Amino acid sequence: MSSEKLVEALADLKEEKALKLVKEKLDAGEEPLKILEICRKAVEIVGKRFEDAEYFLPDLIMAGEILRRISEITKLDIEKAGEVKYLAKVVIGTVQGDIHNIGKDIVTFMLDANGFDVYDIGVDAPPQKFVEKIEEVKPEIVALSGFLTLAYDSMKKTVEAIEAAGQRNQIKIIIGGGHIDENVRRYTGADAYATSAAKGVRICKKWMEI
Amino acid sequence: MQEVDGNLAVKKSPKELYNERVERITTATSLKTPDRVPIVLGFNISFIARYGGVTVQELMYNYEKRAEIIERLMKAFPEADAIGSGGTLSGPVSDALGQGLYEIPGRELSPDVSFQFIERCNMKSEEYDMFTENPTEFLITKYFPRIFREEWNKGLTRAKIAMMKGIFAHNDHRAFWGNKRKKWESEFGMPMARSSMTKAPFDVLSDTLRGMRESSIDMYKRPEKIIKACEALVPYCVMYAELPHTLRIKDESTRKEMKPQIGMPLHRGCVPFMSLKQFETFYWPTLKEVICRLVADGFICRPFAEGDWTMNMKYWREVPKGKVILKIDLADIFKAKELVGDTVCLQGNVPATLLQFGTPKQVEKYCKKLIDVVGEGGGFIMDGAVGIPGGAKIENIVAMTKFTAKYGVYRR
Repeated sequence: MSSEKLVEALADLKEEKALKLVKEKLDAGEEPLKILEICRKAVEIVGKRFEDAEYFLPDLIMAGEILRRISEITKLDIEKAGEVKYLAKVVIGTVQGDIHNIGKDIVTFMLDANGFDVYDIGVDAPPQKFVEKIEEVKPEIVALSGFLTLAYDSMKKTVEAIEAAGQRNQIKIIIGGGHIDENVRRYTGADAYATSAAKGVRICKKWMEI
Repeated sequence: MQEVDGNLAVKKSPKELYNERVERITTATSLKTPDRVPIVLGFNISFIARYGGVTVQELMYNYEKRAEIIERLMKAFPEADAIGSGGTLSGPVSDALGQGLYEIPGRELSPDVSFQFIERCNMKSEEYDMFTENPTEFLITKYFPRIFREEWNKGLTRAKIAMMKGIFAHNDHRAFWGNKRKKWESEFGMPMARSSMTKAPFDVLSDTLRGMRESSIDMYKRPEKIIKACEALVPYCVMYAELPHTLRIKDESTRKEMKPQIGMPLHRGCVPFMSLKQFETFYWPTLKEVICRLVADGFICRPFAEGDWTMNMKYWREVPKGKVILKIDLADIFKAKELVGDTVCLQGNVPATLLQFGTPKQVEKYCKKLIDVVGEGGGFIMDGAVGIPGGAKIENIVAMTKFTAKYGVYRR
């Protein structure tokens, strides 16, 4: 059975069709890991369509929902399964004092779809939590998210804590959110800023070429 | 923070000032040319706290303190034509009911930040029909027990008392600010920017009932149910905006009336929160209906297009002319003028980052462009993109108001 049909069903967000194809493959003795590889291909397409403004937030969420159900059937974690070769590791979180998760979640999805290994430390994350996660996973990139204007100060404190922990030279820091610009980047001491997930991913990919 | 003394050169009576300000805003709203570009300062609660040297937590409880700081701000920025008093939750109301919709300063959050909404699903997918058939019953029997920590559904005496305490606290809160509003109108001649608020039906559904994740999946799995639920929400969204006005005892001291402005923070309508097709299907029809009904009842609607609404701008051509003030955040306001400037009055949008990190010269430069392009022919109100944010520099707000008051005069 070709894998194109499943890729297409998933990329087109046809839930029942995709689940039916997965079950058929499992019944036919297909390795669950192979199925997950096919899923990754579809996720890449979904990410690309979001970048091209063909897909929007509800579509990303729906893609996530179908993947969740496939995970249930195959009993495997799609995010961390298989011998995927990642571009780089990214630690991401919404900074202290801010509990907005939507922007961060979009970026996480998009980084994942573009081949990054993403470690999400959640919302309202104190500087120390970033420092500890950086120590643990040794990422190439750290992404700080924030929706409120109070996030500027938390981002600055986080960058300072990373510096104080002696980790600054090993990583690139990108900040993102609605009300972010060059002024904020300079204030916080980050290396780059992005106001959309697509831009953020482009910057991360560019960093990894060097 | 340094206190500002903004003394006005010409002394006018509060009544004259009030009439003048109302006239200015009303004229701009109806897309005509006032004497100068009106200025609205929507102070964020975090800004009020910082200006007063107190925490946001204290302002949730100490109404007098908040009112006193707001009065100092009115004196500091007399060029303002209306001000926003920093919407926040009332501490007593929140505590009495044990609300669980928001994380609040001093409790889940640090004392100096604003309350924030908790993203969560509060209505099950199989409850759509029950909700649509009788929203009131659903809210009371299902929704309230889920969002208030006091357990209403168990019929406990404690829960009933909590409800009563909540109503008393709410009435206190309303009476306090209602009286302040009157005092500020008569003693300072200063109108309040917003008189009540409501939301887009889809935002009610997505924010507080189903949650972001579930409402997105519903677009695929049960689109008809979303549409029906939003339609059922329309009369509630209208009532929520109008109720405070039908309750308010009419002030007979016949001044010029400023038509009450209904604030409408729009959360999840613009690209990329949904596609234009999804917007046309799920978001816009019922939002437009709410706006049209409120306008028909004599109100001015003031939706806040939070985020970047550039892609969705054209739809605003469909609302009643001269009855809607569209507050612009990150959208291209100059393009908006071209597209919808003959239908809605535009308010905004000095960027939050410019107010916090820019210089007075840079602020003036941006304001000049706003006045020149968006202000052309009227139909424009100067404001910050997200009001006046917590970190805004005083000298930048001074630059924004003084420059607009001077340069924003329309030649007659």
